[in-house]
Amino acid sequence: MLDNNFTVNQNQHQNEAPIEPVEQPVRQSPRKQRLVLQNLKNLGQINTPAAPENNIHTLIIVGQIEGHIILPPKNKTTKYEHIIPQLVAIEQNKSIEGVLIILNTVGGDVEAGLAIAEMLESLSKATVSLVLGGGHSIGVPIAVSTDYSFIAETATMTIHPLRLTGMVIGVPQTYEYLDKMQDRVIKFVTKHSKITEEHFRELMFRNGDLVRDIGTVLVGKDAVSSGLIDEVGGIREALKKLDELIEIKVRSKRRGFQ
Amino acid sequence: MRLKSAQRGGDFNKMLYTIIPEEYIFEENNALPETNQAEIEVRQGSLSLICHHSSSGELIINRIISSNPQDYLNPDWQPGSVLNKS
Repeated sequence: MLDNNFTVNQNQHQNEAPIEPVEQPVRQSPRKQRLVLQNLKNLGQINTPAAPENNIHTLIIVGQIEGHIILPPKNKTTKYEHIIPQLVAIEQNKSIEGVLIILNTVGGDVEAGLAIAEMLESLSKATVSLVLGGGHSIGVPIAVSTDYSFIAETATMTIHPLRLTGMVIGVPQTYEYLDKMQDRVIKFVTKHSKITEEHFRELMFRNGDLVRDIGTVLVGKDAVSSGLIDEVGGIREALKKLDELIEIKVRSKRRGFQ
Repeated sequence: MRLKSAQRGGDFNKMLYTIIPEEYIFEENNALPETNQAEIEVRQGSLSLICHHSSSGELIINRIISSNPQDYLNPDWQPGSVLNKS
């Protein structure tokens, strides 16, 4: 209705221009009308093209992966409670055929990171990951959890041992616990990539590569040559691969029904 | 020492696997002014909009969280714009 008022006012300004009978537009909800008006006021245009149904969804994992502890506000975080429901929705939505994971993370909570990695691994849709900037620490299992993984030429992945922080009780059990946690990460990574456990451990405990820590930094090609990541590439390659994987999945599904 | 550790998240099961030093993550930075802009999460269908209240009481969008990349192109949900309550 508001739209109609607007056209009428305009016509009045045009000095007795013949008011043509305006065709009654499709009834819009008050919300839609308000949006149209706001758009008109802000941008000077009404039309907002309707977004087509998208068969590829993306998850962007940036900053710290936040799990059990809420980190101080200065940390940029990706929250576990945002990612998991999205993955559930993606799995349930029949029109979504592929998921692109974009990583630029410094690491974070072990349990949250592994949970996201396990969710991605068990997703029935085609999945491709792309490491941009950095995919460090707990970002490594997330990067390898997808069907196919890419790394940008300049992106880096740091592999280093887990550390116990806060109050540490100096008993053998503490060390055993830490070792067990570390094994969870190592097992997941070696199971879902071409890297061997020996090589991954060697990279993790290497001396002299990092200034303040032990471990290794893999840049682009190094991550591929070590077998951790499948290919060096960017968004173009990642989306192309995702389309290919979707095609394969759709075809095999069709064959399954016949 | 123990109390401090407990205050900043508890010394139980704090297992962060990250390249950022823990002192830096949990650093209490008094130099930064405390912002009173509490974040409000508004759900619209499958997407989340992280907003804050402006001085005039409107909801201003800070960040969109959605898995559908097309949602980021929606002009009504651009960061900085006013969220229409509906």
